[in-house]
Amino acid sequence: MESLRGIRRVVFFTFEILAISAFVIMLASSVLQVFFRYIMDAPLQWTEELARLMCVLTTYFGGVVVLLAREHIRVDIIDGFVSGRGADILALVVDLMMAWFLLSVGYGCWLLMNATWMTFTATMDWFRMGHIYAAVGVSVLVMTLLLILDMYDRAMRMVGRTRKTGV
Amino acid sequence: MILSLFIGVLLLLFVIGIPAAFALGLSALIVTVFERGIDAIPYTILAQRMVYGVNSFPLLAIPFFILAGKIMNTGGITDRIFDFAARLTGHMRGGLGQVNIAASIIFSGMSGSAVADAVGVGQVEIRAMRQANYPDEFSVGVTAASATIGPIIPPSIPLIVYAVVANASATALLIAGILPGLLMGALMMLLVWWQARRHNLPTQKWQGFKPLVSSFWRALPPLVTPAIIIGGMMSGIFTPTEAAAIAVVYAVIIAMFVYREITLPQLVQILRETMRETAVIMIIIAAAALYGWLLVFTQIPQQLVSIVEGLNLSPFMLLLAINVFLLIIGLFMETNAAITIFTPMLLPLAVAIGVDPVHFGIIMVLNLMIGLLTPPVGMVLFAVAKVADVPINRALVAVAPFYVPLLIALMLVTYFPQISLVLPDLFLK
Repeated sequence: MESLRGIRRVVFFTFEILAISAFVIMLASSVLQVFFRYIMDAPLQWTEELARLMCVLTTYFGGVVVLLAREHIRVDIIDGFVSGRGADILALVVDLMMAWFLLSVGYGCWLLMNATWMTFTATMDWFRMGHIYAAVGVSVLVMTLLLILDMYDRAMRMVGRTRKTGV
Repeated sequence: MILSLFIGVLLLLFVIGIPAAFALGLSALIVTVFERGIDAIPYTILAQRMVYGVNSFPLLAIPFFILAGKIMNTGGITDRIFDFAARLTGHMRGGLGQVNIAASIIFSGMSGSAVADAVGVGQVEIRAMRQANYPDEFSVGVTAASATIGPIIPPSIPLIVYAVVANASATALLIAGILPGLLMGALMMLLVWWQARRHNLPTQKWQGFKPLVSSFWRALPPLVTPAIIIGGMMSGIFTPTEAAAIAVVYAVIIAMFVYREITLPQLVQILRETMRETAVIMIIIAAAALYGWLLVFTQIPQQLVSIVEGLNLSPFMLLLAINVFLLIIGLFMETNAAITIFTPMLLPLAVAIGVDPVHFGIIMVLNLMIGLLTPPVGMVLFAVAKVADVPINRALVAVAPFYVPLLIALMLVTYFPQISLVLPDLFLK
């Protein structure tokens, strides 16, 4: 269990650094856009596209962090109606469905990454769309793995409780 | 059949507690499986929509406005704004109640989130009202209600989300929010005036022009922020995203170098919080793009329009029905999630009866702001209750009188489109 906690910590900090870096580049790129247009009178072509793509990366790298912190917005009406074993089973079902969705997106990213690996973005001849799909794919894969870890954790706790109480 | 499947599956997923973003994506996936079979899942479209849903320049205004608002929310800056508002309106009947609303209106021009307003400037407001022996019921009510003005007056995160989902002009929407926001403030001030008369609440002494001018100078740097944002957009110099980015730079300069209120480690902490809030909102928008694409692909909005046309409702009744529907939705759903889900369904109905998409955006956000003051998902209510350390039921009783001015504002904004459209018409056409 301690090693699982360690894995989660490493994933959290790695993706937090990646997401904040993407966020800072997104902000810097947008500021540069205004600066070069109005102060230097020489508009840059690539700033808007870079900022947009960094927004995509901030979203998915940050998505891993948010999933680890369980900060996604949800309607929590059900929490008042189920508890104990029922709540554990429901949480397993919820995680399983989320994992199915993430795997589907991840597979789509894999297909698109292959299709666009050699395609440059419209304004940056050093940046390929395949990189973006790869990064998103890795993020959703990590999210899936985290959900599987959570499901394993929960299942083990349920088994332990059953052994203890015999119910 | 497919319409009920769309709505039924989504509701079911919400009820069992699946996070909003995943519920949206999963319902699109499940509907596709029902319609076309498990072998025909369009994986590439799934991934493409999830990426392109957030690959949009106007959307970037959201994280930047969150960041600028958080930086402006640091202690010293909110204190200065409150101090200026106190000297400006503290002598009016209702004293600090009026100050509270004035401070929220001023802060609305810097932050686009009601919860941020409630927690940031709300903390200063409640502290001051307690020191002046105002009853908690009154302080909590006015603080929570006035925080809902935040996302109506620009900058506004929900209006940007709406602009992207509805494919409407973000600049027009943000400018359209100015008068409705001021109207909400004026109606709340009227209620506070009436409550103050009834309960004989204390009023501050008018301290003259000199203290007013000196507090204005002390608060001038943050007070310039709305001028940068609104002025920049109205004059066409900046897009909303560029205005938001410049607002961030300006906020960093005044918070770190002019007032020296935040240090580098604090700025990093603010960045961490902003990144997480951004990810939460953006993943919902990405999944909503997928959901919205499938809605349009299966012609759900057209089906809805023909069903409603069959009901033969007058535009007045239809708008009333949409308002009631959105008020109910606001009880249960987070604002941005509600906008992303229901805009593709409701906007075609509104447009069919001649409602301008910009006007409809203001109606929608105003409805959902009222929802922020009601349980079970009343985020502002919870935030203010936490700040003031009062139980939710007491906070709910405190807020109850403020539903009246908010509902009056909603009706006026709904049935008098000029309130929303006069400024965009004046400056953008």
